[in-house]
Amino acid sequence: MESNSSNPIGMDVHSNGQLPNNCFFNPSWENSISMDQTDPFESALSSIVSSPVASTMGPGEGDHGMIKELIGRLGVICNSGEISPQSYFEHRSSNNSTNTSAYTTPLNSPPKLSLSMMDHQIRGNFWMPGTQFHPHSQQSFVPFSTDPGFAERAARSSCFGVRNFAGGLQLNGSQRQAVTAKKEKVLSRDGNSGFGDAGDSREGSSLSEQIPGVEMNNMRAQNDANARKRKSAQRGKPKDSTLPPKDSEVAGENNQPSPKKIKSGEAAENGSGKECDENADKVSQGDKNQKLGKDSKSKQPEPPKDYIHVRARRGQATDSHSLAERVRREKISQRMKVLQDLVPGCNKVTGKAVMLDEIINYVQSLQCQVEFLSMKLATLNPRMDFNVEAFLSKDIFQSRGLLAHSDFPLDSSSAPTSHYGFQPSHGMISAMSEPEVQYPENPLNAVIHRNRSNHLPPIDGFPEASSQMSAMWEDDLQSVVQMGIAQNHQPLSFHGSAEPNHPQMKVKS
Amino acid sequence: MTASRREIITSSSSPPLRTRFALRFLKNLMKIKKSTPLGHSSSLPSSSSLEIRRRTQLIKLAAYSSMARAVGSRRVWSRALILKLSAGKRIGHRSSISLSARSSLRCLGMKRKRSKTVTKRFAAKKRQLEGPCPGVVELQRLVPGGESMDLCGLLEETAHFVQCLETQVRVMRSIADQLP
Repeated sequence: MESNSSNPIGMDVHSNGQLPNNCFFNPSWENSISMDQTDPFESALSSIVSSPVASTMGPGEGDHGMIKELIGRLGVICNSGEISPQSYFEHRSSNNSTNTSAYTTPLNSPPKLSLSMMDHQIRGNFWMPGTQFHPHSQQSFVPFSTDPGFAERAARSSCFGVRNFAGGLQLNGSQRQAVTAKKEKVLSRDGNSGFGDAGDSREGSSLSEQIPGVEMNNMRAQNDANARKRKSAQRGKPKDSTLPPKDSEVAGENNQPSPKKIKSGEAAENGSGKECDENADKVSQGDKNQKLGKDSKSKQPEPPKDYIHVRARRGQATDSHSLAERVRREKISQRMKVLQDLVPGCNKVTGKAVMLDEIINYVQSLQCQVEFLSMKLATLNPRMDFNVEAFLSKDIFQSRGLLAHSDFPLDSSSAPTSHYGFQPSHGMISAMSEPEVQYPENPLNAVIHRNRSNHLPPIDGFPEASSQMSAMWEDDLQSVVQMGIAQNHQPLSFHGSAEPNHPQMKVKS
Repeated sequence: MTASRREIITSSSSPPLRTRFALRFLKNLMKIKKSTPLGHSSSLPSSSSLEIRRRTQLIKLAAYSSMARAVGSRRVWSRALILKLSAGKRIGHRSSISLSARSSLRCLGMKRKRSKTVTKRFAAKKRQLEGPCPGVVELQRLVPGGESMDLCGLLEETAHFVQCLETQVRVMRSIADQLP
């Protein structure tokens, strides 16, 4: 039996101990589950259907009221306090009747995010605090929840989804994993349950969207891989599951409430997801239309398309590949972070493409600087015969000061002479000079005028790095100076003396 | 940020990269200075401009080669650069680029492919089908030896390449400021 098979999860769902922040109507529900169900289901449905009709007709809110109540009831029944309408009602409606106690337990743990999410719906004139919701809720709640199949499915679907939506905010990783593990169990076991699918899909979407970087790669992969199918399945299945039992009563009852109920069921299930806007629109449309099952059925194919449009993850064929892709993506993001630190001015930039452009610009500017400096060195008079060692020691001492020098005067002074460097004379270095050649003037302008000033003096942009570098310069001061001194008389034999000096350097440094 | 930078900097064992580069570059620079005397630099601007241009190119080559040799064979880009430069020196300036690039690409590409697993190859094929974004292509052109790398390795090489370029610029600037 479905209830028995789903008991482990159902119990998990309903037990407070396993899943925190989930207050459910545990006592009443568990008791109700054990009761016999098929008839009470229909009776519950009829009561629900009839009561809101009667209630809403009175105040004249009409369809909105019915939808509200139905959705609220579904949310309530699903044991999820995260369905904010109840909390919303609780907060806003002054009619905190006795029934609110029945709701407050699940409502005690409503996530703020879902509240905000639902606020959109609420402000969209879709959710309105229904004062009449509460009085009827109690009487409809118990009979409604007595139905095990429907209740379980509803619990699984919206509870899982909605709760994970909220739980995503509050659960830590292990709990989330537990939740998702249970969800996976439910889904794998009960593939036919549209509610379960909806819940899992929602969970997948909520988790993936809200909890980036959660380590549940497997879960996410599975969710992502199956999300599309589940979303489409979910669309059809809740309707399928709810329609047949309701058809009988639809025949007997008003046709109006049932499609609305289906849509409201949809909305309740998916209200916490990101697709709530679409659902709200659809349900509001349904409210206005007041058509029969045709409308709901005609809208069935539409939501899947919208869902697929909304979902970002597509095209992940199998788990192994998607896992590899995810690993690769994480590696790439790590390296992008390192590059972000290296390239100045990239902290505010987000996104691969812009970052890549920044990196490319920076590399080009560095190459241009090398070009400038080589030109400057070329124009310098060579007095380097005996200046090498002096230079080295000086360089080490003055590296700090040098590092602070701005690049601008250097570039501006060498600007007129820079044209020499931008003519590709030799094919050997044309590959290197290509980046400069292609931008004969732009790098200059960029170097001098553009707002890449933070790039230009790369040394200036790294005060902490420069201090590190200067510290490291000092560390090697002795070694380098000794090297320089050792080569004092043999400037040309630098090449030969460099190697034997290296072990010296190593020993002394 | 500083930790990563420090890590990359200290990953090059003692002596640090800048010292090695500085030494090599200086020696190359002196070689260039000796070989191409600029005695008449002030006399004829035209010849001196040509001379200066030539020397600029030589100095630039020297800078890149000394940097590549200072890094050694640890990095893909340094290997590619060394191959390119040595091939250029051996064969000739004009045709060296394509040959050296091809040879370096072949070497690097082969190394790369050997390390790929099945899933990586599949993913790489998929990515090839989709085509890399233009930024990746541009970066591959900039970083020596980048054509044969996927985005993952390319970013790593780019990080190291950027660091080495910064070192190069710093050393060259200090040399240029201190010499005269």
